[in-house]
This record gives sequence, structure tokens and C-alpha cells, in this order.
Amino acid sequence: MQLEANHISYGYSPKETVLHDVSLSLKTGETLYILGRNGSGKTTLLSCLAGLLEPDMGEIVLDRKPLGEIRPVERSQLIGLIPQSHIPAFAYSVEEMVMMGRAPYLSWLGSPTKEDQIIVAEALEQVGLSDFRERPYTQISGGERQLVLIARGLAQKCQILLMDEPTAHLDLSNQHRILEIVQQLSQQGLSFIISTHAPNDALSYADKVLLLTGGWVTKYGPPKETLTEALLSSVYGIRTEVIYQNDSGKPIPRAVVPRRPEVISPESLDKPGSLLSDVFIRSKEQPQLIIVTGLSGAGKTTWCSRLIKTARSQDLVVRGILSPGIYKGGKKIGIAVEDLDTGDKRKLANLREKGETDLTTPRWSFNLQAIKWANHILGTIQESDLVVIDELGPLEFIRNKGLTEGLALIDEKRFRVASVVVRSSLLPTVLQRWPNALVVSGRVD
Amino acid sequence: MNDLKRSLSKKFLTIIPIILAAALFVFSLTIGRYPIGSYDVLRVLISPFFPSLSMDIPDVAKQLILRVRLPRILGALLVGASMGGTGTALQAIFKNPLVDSNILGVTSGAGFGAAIALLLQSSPWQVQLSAFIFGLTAVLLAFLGSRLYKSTPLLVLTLMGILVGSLFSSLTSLLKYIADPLDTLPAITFWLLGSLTSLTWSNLIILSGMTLLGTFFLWLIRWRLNVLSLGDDEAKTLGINPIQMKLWIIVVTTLMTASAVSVSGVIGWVGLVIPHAGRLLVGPDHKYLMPASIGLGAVFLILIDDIARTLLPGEIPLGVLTGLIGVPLLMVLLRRNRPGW
Amino acid sequence: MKKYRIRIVMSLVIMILLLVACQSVDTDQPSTTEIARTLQSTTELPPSTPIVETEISARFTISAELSLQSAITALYQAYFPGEAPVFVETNADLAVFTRDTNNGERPEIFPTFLENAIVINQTDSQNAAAFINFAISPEGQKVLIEAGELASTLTLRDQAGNQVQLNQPIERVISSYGPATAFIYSVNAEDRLVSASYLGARDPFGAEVMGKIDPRFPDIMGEEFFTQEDFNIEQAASLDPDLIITSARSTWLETASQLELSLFLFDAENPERLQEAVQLTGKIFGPNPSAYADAWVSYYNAVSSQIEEQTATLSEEQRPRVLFTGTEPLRVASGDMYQTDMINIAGGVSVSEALSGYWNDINLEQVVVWDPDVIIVPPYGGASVEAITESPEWQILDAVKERRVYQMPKLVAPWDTPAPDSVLGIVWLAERLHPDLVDLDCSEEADYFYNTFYQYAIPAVEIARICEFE
Repeated sequence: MQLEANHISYGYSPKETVLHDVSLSLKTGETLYILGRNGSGKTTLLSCLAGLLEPDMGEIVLDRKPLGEIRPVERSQLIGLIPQSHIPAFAYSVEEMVMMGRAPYLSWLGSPTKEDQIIVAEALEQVGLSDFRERPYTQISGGERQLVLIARGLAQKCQILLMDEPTAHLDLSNQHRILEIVQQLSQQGLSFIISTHAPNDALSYADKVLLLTGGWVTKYGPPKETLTEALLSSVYGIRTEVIYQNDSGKPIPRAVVPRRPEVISPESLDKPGSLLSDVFIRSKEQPQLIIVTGLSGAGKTTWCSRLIKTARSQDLVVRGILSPGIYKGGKKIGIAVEDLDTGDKRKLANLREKGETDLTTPRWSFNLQAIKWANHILGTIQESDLVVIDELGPLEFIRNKGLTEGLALIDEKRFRVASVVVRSSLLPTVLQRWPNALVVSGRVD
Repeated sequence: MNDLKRSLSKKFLTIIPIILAAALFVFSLTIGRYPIGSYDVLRVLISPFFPSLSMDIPDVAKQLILRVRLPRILGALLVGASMGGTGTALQAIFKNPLVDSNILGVTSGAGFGAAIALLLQSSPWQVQLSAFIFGLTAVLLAFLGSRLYKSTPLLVLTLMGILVGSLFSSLTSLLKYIADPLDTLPAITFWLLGSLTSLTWSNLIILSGMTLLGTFFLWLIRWRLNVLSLGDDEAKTLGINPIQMKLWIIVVTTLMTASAVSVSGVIGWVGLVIPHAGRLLVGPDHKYLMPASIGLGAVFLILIDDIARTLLPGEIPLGVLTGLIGVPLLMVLLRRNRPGW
Repeated sequence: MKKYRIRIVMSLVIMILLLVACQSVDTDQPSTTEIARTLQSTTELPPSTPIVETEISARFTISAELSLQSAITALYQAYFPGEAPVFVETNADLAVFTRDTNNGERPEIFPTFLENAIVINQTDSQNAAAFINFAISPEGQKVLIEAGELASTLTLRDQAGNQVQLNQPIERVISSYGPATAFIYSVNAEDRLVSASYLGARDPFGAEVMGKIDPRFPDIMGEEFFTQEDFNIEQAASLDPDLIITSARSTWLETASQLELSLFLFDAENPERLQEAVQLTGKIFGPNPSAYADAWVSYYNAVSSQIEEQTATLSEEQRPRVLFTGTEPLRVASGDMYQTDMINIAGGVSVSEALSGYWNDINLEQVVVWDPDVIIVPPYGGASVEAITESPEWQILDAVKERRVYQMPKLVAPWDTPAPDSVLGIVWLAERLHPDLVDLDCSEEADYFYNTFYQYAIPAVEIARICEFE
């Protein structure tokens, strides 16, 4: 039984196209996994393949016959859709639920027969729920409910089973149980198309993988071609990492995990051989970006000063700006901006109550002239050994205002080593923009 | 109690209401304000075939049983069965155990139709016809209204049903307001409260035709209601055309309810409570639930009608009794609960 | 934001326009007051306002008891200003004397200008007739009040227990209660009505007859504005009534009392209260209406006594059992209703006596248990004899098989409502129930009643229609 989808497009409304030009094929006994973010069109695709939705463009073909031309009753004897388990309005027993899978074989006015009862019993046995026959469907665990739905799909005696996120909301043991059963069944000749949020399931069980991003096919192929760091990172929008198992000499991919940024302690600047102390050496080959973050206060700026001192001691050119705070009676009432080249200082920001300008954040009111001056400084920096920008904040990353030249400077990599101070809450945003940065978490004493 | 139920097979439990209905039917023939002994009743029943057996029974008694009690109790049986069946079917397709036969407004429409006819001083059969037609009209309006919206059709249909029902209820209130308080208003009020006093052999024919055909249909498709109650999408993947099936079911239940209400007036609550009682007895599998509800509905209404016509010299409206008796009954049933519906 | 502002302004403009429109609605139609006044002036009754005649002559002679002469003088001088009446002992044109209360089986009623004081016209003189009309009219009452012969205010206790002060004479009355309107007509005070709710005048035949009885009908029909449920204050104010007569069960009494309108309430559901009501009505309007009221009470009692005497030999079991149905065959009168009293007076027994309240709904089996001898169907609400006699289920009853199902008649007011006409209902019932024992004749009594109390010369063909023996 061969299922093919050729250039499927579907939109719920003329303006809202959810699937664009999706093609796939499935052979007997194959298991295809569909991966993608929430809203990428996985469920819609399954609905189209199950015959619930009619594609606006393209066609779905089952053994050379277009799906639209197969009568619904026949179609449901060939393809079954196993939805995510939900609670129905009435407390049917497990047996009654599974019996509903026999619907395609009963006439309009007929009732289940002894033969149907036997098939149902067999299906329950296959998923290991024979003892659960009389239990109300509403009173068993989520995993057991999913298994009941699988049993229903089995009772339906179809060749292809579509499963919509079967392991969602299930604990580890239930997940495993289901996936193992699916594996067994596929070895017996059933084909599966499974949508999931768990790339690791695909890694372990898939014959083929379809990656969907925003309704477009990012990649379609066997796992080793599709489940790569680069592709998964682009599909999920975060850095991912594949962990390999090296037992038998040949590394086998075992799991995919999000990559977390490595946080370096600030002290290691003074430790020889550490990433930080070698940063200037490495900068000869590649620009090195250091993100300095952590608690607010004088810590970050202080550490930058240390870095500057280290650089200057090596006769390196240091450019950029620092933003020391202006204190009165122990309280920070303003921010100054200092040109590292000339040492000039200007007042950058005041507390907002004292005066409003056009450029404000909840706490500070920025001096437009000072901003312009700082931007000018940053804009004129070309290929410096060390660039320090203290600091870039929500004004820059989110509203794209303020020290925009600083953003450009880093984007364009016009530095050997750059040290950019950001507040810790912005770290994920910053790392999305500059994934390869080193992170120094400033908990300086 | 639960153990006992489990040991008796479901089939048996399903048959009980039907047998009970038949037995109650015969028993009710002996109940009434006019005193007639049970043995005499049986003799009268056989009298059309063996006239000699009932010679000594006064003609009045014979006529009373054959012309007054028999059609009325039969009517109660049919109306009750009809409401039990339609309530069950509608709860399945609306996936909601709190649905009554009036979900699409058929009863409210029928009430309005009767009120208009009474206001125009029509004859009784004209009142029935008007009730029937307006009952159908209400559902048609709800259905057409729901076609205006494409998304979540079930929800929209429910809403339209409620809206149309309310519309006709308000119109009926308006009619009550302008009705002559001395004769028309009491007639309307009495009709709206429901009674089987007007049941005679002549109007029983249509009622029985509709009810028997409709009930038979519902009995045939009973298992499919299970699948329909899961939702449209799942039904489709299991090879059932949910829209077509629901349409058929709505048409049949509407015809059944409209013909019942046009004869009996507005009797609420039965379509809501009986399926619930049925579920408590045989479970939610409609293969057993449908016949059980049909039987229980018949039993319930025959009992209620017996009380309505016998307890006091005056006639107690059925709608009053179904509420007064049905509510505590349901509360008692819920206490011996089987979890879930 | 702009869109909302525009909508609010539009709504306000529309509302203002609607208010303005409402102001101008009423000005085109003549009000009921004007209609009433116009009609009054075109009736055939001789005018009761003083005539100034150029010729001075002895118009007619009067013989009067001494005690009544001053009253007559006052009236005469008011009606013929500057003249004095001529009293003679015998052969007078007008005879004025006191007379005891109207008694007898079919009392004859004479124009009464003071309590128990009547005046009889023994000539054909138009002047005399006009003078008599003046004497018994409200204008005449005013003269007598001024002369001290009649009280200027009367305090009566209405049937809800309220003491109502009535400034005599009462000239403008709104009646929002059908039976009360019937009382007013039967005491010959209908000219004082400015707006009334009528019993039984909604069907075309009843309306036609009512039109013949009172030319002002249907213009003074007030059902649009005044019913037991609803009372249009504006309309009432524009009619400027002296008194509003209604049922004690009207739902708007609180509102009306707060507006200090003079209200007189009736609540008559049995013969005693009915008689009291008619007599109170008489007293409200003056001596002549009182005379009519007394006459009617006397007549009613005479009829009741006669029936009682003639059926005295019957035991309780021998009395026919009667089922009085309502607008539906299975809706029957309770023991509390007037119909039951009528049945009892007519020498029968009401099978539904045990029921209470108003109309009761029952089922056919209960009727079979009661097994009535006679079934009565009312003349309103679409009820018909055929609904029972042609129904196969009702054939169980002997009464139906033997066609003893009759419809209570009505001319305008149905004869089973607690109104003066109901005395005929009693006669009719007695005739049906005891054709051999009671020798009252419906036709004769109808002829007497309508001629006397409604001043309606009822044609023989109509009498035959309503009294016909089915």
C-alpha cells in the first residue's frame, strides 16, 4: 500500500495558507515522522492525508488512486487517524471505544456482530489492554487511553495509521510502550505517519522524517539527512546539539538536545589557559564576541575595565564606550557615557522623572545628543583589537533605537574581540542573534 | 447494586424497561376515577373478539375503557417512548448529556403555533396542525440560521436552536398577554403545561405512525450514535458521514417531537432525564441505551399520566408533574451514582 | 472613536424625533368625550335642560301629596323659569304620589324622582313628558339637591368594603367592568356612561343589538383603554369622570387610588352579592335608578321563589344533575362560580360543585363518574353544542346520547354571567330542567325583562331565537 502526497497546499481561508507544496511518500511498513514547531501545519497535513480536509492544490494518491475518488467508507478501511486522546462526552467502556473502530465495516443500520467482538478482543490483546475491557474510558490514564485509540485503529484493520502527537502528555514509560508497539506493528506490515514534538523519537524509530517550517517542507528524507544540528536549529529556532554514542567505533546519533550557552566565570580572565585569557590569541583567527551579563550594578562595567586593562597591557587598541553610573547619596540617578579612546564623558541618561525626552525607557530618559555622540563613536570604529560596548539593552535589541551603531558594529563583525554588556534577561535574545558568543556571567566580587 | 447489575447481562437490563412498559400499559387500564375491576378490564379488552365474555359489564364501562382510557394510555406510551428516544439521539449528536428534545426549538415553536390557533378560536385539530407546523418551522429556522456560519457548526446550531426557541417563547408570551383572560388565556396556559385529555383514536393515528416509524429508525441507527458522539472528525475517519447522519436524525427527531407535542402540549424534562436514567441502568453504549430509553420514557409517562388523571377530580397538567416528580427522581438516581454519564 | 460618536448622535436625534412624533399623534382624532357629547345631543330623548318658551300658559295640571309639593315646585320652577305649578285635586295631567317599594312578580316601574315618590303621566302632553324626564334626570336631581330634598353627597360602602363618597348627581361614569356596565343599563342610568366595557358585545350579533339598545354604542366602548388589567390614566383624565366603576379584582387599583380618582368596586359572584350590587348601582345614580334596581331585585326574588315552590316536592336525588362546561368541553365551572348558584336556584344540582376556584380542567373519565343528566354549554368563547354531541368519545354519556346538551342563551350579555340578565338564565334553566313542574315561560320573561330594564322592544323573532327549545 503506497501513499503519496504530491505538492499539497491547504489554507483554512483564502488569506491563511497553512501548507505549501508538501510532498511525501510512504511504502508498506514504513514509519514517517513529521516534525515542526507549534502551528507549522502538522495536524493539518495529517487531516489532509486522512481525507478530512481537501487540499486546495495538489493531490493525495493511495495505490495510484486519488484519495478524493475513494468512497469514505472504503477509505476508512484503508487509512485510520488516531487523534490525541481526549475525553468524550459519555463514559464508554474501553471495549465500546475500540468497537467503534469497526464502524467502516457495518452497514448504516447494522450493529456489531460476534465477529466484530473477536476482532476487538484481538486488538486489545495486541496493545496489552485485554484486562481493561470493562473499564470506563474516562477513568484510565492518558497513556492507556492512547493505547485504546491505537487498539481502535487496529480494529479498523487499516493499512496506514496516522497518529497525531501520540506521546504528548505521556510519562516516559508510556511513551516507550507506545513507540515499541508501533515499532512491532510496523514490522508486521503496517505503515505509520506520526507527528511529534520529540525529535528523539524520530531519531530512534523513523524510517523517514519530514521537517515542516511554517507550512513549507524544510527537508524530507531519512533521519541521518534530516536530523542534523543545522536543520533542527533552523526548524525550532534554537541551537541544538546531537549527542552521539561512540561504542562500536562508529558514532551513532542518540539524542538531540537544545544547546545551552556555556557560561564562563569572570575570574577566569586571570587564569592562564582559560577561554578568556586566550581570547586575544584566538582572535587572530576569528572574531571573538564576549557577552557580559549578570547582576546589575557596577559589576559588569568593572569587569570590562579589567578586560580593557589587560588589553592595554598587551598594547592592543581599545575602542568603544563605557557607561558608568552617576551616583548621589548611594543611589544611581544618572548614566554617563565615556569614550574609551579620548576619555570624554557626556551625560547619557537621567532618571525619567526629572525630564522627558523622546527616547525613554521605564526608568531612564536618554539625552539624544549624547546618544548621537556615542553612535558616532561606535560608527567610526573599524577593525579594532578590542571593542567594548557598555551597554546594549532592550532599546537596541527590541526597539532598534538608541545605540544602533553598536548593533551594526557587532553584526558586521568589525572587531577582533568585542565585549558587549547586556542585562541577563536579554541573554536568550542576544544569543539568538549572535549564537557563537561566549558568555561571561558577571558575579564579580 | 452495581454488582447485581454487572451480573445481569446488559441485554436483560435493556429488555426490562420494555417489558415494564407493556405491563404498566395493561395495568394502567385498570386505574381511573371510574371504578372498574381489573378482571373486568381484561374482559373488556378481549370483547371486540369475544363479545360474549363481557356481556354483563355496563356499556358505560366498556366505552370508557375502549374509547377513553385505551387511546389515552396508548398515547402516553407513544409520547413517552418518543421523548426518550429523541432525547437520547439528540444528546448523542450534540455530545452533551444536558440536551433536551427542545434543543432546536421544536417545542417552543409548537407552543407558539398552538397559542396562535387558540387565539383564533380554531378547532382542536387545527390547533394540533398549527402546533405541528410551527414546530417544524422553528427547527427549520434554527437550521437555516446556522448555515450562515461555517465554523464550529454544532455550536452554532445549538445557539440558533436556543435563539429560535427563545424567540418563539417570547412571541408566545406576547400572545398570552393579548389573549382574553377569561377563555383564551386559560386554554393557552393549559396547553403549554401539557395534558393528554385530548387524546382520542382519531389523533392517535398520526401520532402512532410518526412515533413508530421514527422510533424504529432510531433503533436501527442506535450503534452509530456511539461514533457520532465522538465528534465529526473522528466519525469521518471511521467512515461515517456525520453531516448526513445528523441531518437525518434531526429530521426524524423533529417530526417525532412535533407530532408528540402537537397532541400532548408542552411536556419538558422527559427527553433530558430519561436518557440519563437509561445510562445509569445500561451504560452509555447506545446499542443498549436506545431501547432502554425508549422503554423508560414510556414507563415514565404512563405513570405520570396515571397520576395526572386520577389523583384529583381536576386534571393535573403533565408538565407540572414531570418536573415535580422527575427532579427528585433524578436526584435519587444520582446518589446511587455510576461515575460519569 | 469617531464612528461611535456619530452613532450616539444619530441615536439621540432619532429618539428626539420619535418623542416629537408622539406629541402630535392625538390631535387629529376626536376624543371620546367629544364623540359622547355629540351623540348625546342627537339622541331622541327630550332635552332635560330647561326650555324657555315664549308662550306662557298653564301647561299641565299636577296632583301631588302635600309632602311632595315643594319638591315638585322646585322642579317646575327650574324647568319653566318664572312659572309656578298648578296643583289640583283630581283629574290632573300628572299624578304625583308616594308608593311603596316595587313589588310583585313583574313589577311595573314608574318615573321616580325621590325615594318612593313617583309621577305618572296621564296625558299625551309632550311638555308633561319632557317635565317628567327632567325631574328624573341629573339636572332634576341637582335642583332637588339645591332645594334640600335630596342629599348632596352620599356615602356608600362598595363591595370591597370601601366607604366611597359620591357627590350627587353622578353624571360622568367610566365602567371598566362588563357586569357593572350591565347593572348601569338595567337601572336606566346608561346616559351617564362616558366610556364602558361591555359584556358580550364583541360578536357581531351582540354588537348589533347593543347598537339598537343604545345609539351611543359602539362609540363609548372603552375596551381599548379600560379593562380589568389595564387602565389608561391619560384617557381617563381627558374624559373627566365623576366616578370609575370597576371590579374589586382589577389589577390597577393601587395606581388609580394613588391618583385620587373616585372608585367604586364591585365583586358579585353569587345571587346575594349580585342583588346588593344592582341596588348599590341604583343608589349611586339617584331615585329613578334606585327604583329600577329595587324592581329588578324584586323580580329576581319572585322568579326564585316561584321555582322553589314549584319544585319543593323534589328530593335531593330527584333533582337533575347538571354539568356546566366552559369554553372547552372539559373545562367546567367550579362550585364557587355563579353558574352553580343559578343551577341550584333553577332546581338542579351542579355535578362540579366540589371543585373550587374558577374554571377547572378535567378529563372525560371524571365526567363519566359524575354522569350528568344535562350538559350546559356557554354562549361565549367558541363553545358549541356540536363540540360535545358530535364527539365520539362523549357518546358514552346518556346525556349526550339523548341530546340533553343545551347552549345557554344570550342577547348581549350572556345569561350565565353575574349580571341582571342572569334572571332569564335561571328561567331558561328551570324550563329545561323541570318542564313539567315549573310554569315560567322564557319568551314571556325575556319580553318583560328587555322591555322594562333595557327599554328595548325586543322583536318576537329574536325572543324565539334565544328561547327556542332545543
